Amino acid sequence: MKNKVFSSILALAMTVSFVSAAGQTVLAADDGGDGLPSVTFTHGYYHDESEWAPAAEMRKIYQEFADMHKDEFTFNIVADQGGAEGIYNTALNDLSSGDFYDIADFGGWDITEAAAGAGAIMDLKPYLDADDDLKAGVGVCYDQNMTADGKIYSVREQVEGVGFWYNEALFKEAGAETPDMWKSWADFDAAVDKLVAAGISPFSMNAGWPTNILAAGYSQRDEASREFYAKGREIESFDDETFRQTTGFMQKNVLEKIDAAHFGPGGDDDNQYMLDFTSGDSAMLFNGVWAAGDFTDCEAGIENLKPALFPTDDGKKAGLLSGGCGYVVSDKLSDEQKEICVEFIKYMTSPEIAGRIVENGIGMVPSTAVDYEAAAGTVESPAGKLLVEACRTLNTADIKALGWGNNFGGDVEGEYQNKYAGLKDGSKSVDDVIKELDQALEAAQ
Amino acid sequence: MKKKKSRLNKRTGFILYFLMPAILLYLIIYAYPLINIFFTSFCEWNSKNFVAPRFLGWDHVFDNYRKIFTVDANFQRALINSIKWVILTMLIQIPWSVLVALVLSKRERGWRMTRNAFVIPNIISTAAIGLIFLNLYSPARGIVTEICNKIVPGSNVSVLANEKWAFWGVTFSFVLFGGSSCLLLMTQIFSIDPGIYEAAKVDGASSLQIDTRITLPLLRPMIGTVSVIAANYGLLLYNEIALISGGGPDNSTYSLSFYIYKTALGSQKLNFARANTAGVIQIFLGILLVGCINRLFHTKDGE
Repeated sequence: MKNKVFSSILALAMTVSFVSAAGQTVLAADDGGDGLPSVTFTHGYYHDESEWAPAAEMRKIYQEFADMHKDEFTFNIVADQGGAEGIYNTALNDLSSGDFYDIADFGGWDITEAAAGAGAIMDLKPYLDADDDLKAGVGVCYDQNMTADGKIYSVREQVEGVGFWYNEALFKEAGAETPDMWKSWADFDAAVDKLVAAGISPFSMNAGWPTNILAAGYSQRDEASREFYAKGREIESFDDETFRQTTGFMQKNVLEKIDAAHFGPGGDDDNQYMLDFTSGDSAMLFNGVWAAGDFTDCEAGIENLKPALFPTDDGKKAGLLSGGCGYVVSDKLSDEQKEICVEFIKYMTSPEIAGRIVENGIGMVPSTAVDYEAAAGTVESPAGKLLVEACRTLNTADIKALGWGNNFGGDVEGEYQNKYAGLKDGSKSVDDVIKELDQALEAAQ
Repeated sequence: MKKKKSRLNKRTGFILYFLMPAILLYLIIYAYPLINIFFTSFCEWNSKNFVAPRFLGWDHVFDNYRKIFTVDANFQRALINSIKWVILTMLIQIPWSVLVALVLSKRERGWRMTRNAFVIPNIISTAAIGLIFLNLYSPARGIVTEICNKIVPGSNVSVLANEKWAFWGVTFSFVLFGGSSCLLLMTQIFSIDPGIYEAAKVDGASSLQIDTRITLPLLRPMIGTVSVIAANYGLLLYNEIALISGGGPDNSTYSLSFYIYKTALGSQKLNFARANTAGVIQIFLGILLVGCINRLFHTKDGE
């Protein structure tokens, strides 16, 4: 009898919990239960504030938007614990079953080709063309993210702003001219030679990101090289004189100037090049503006670290600004829901939010409406000031090119960076690299 | 007679009824993916048609196979590396495990502690092992560079930045860890009838003769089994590469498994068709390998 009563209670409890859970699911998927239209936004800023303060600030910004419009629509915010990579992987799985996020921030993981091919995402271009403020807010993303058939599937509220950093104290110690005075790449070579002669490692590199940055920077040296570089993913062969010169420069003037201890294998875990710079062991760091966040209380002394642009041989200054894949919106949403998503993108790329992103040391923004001079006055932390200074410096660049990976695509980027180790130890010549890259292009077709 | 036949049919039906869940699971988990991998290797399936693989057509049906063997240098390198790792596993790990098992089976003082020490690397996750080796090989803080600098001052060896050394760097991160094989071999040795050893000793056989004439021949089927396991590990190698070298430098440490991942999910092109083509080749290689090892050690006969 006791057992029967217990079983009946258990069965009842299970039924009740099932029904209530199902009810909740329906509520979340439908409209929040209050008759208002609903959109779910997924992002990768899941980190605890103590772990990464910018994540908390981003969540705050999102929540303020949801609160601001709570009487008009329900804006659900979901943080994916897998970060941007997790969002990308989930999207790939969802695409297979015909689903897609309402709106998600892909944080640089480019889902657009696969999602557009499946007809799952909406073209943002008509909305951007119809609204000058929105277009100004997305800045370089408008041109960079436009596909060959004239569509824009993604825009971002942040861009990868990349120049390089230098340690002024080490340059002075070596008697080398600082990068802000450089007029051409010959000045770079002269400074590197002086640093090496003084026993200072001019830079720390690896078979990856920092070396790609310098290669991209050097590729902006003159009109011919810029023209080849601008072809980007349309390139059919790397057998080009300007590319030959770039690779030769990387071998002779960069990689052969440093010892093995200052050249790592690359990969996500290889941050030695950063540690070498922040500990005062190397004089230049090829990394983005966001690196300023790692300079607080560093051994090299934050007061010695300065941002710089790449020189060119025709009197200009160059920086790298890449939008990449950010906000992507499902095409299956109703017109009303799509309007909500566009409203959110407009909010995220507005001058007000752009200013907050810069002032809080989160990163650089594509918006052309940000007053960096004013922002510098409101920032208090030394790292925040340095970030604003780096963004301001990049904004003054005469040439704003895409980064290596965004320009040529991740696969070519990977293939090229694979060659650095061979170029450094001399087991590969420039001709070998070009031949192998062309083979990789052929294999990828 | 009729009655007996009907009872037999009933019994067969009864057995089949109980086998059905296992058969269904096998079909869903193993058979379907295998068939899928096989058929999509004859398709175009990448980021452009991510949700709908397209058959290449009879004129181009073997295009993926032709391309990976003719123009895809990464696949060719991955294939050669995987074969090399299978051979090295067979040549180094198996003899090493057999030797340790033979020594430990003598039950000399401290054999339990030695056995446990030998097995420890096999119970640590490959992720942790990968990180340990990543630090060992680091040119800035690794002990390998330091030792090399002591021997050849200023050599500054960077294991993972050199194509030839990186291959050996990955190889040594797994090839000596034969703890699991050693345990299986020891279990087999301990199950041999002690009477055989006693008789050999009475006949005046030396320890070496006992090992080579009695233990090793009786151990042959188990050596075959551990060889299959170890060789497959070499063929399917992925974790160590992903953690230690990332396939570099210059893709020189690609394995077939790593190539499959990079081609399908590690690239924006999402070339699932070509990855599945490599998968089919890996499956055939695996079958071939098991067949060869079984033939070599006659493990089918249960000798």
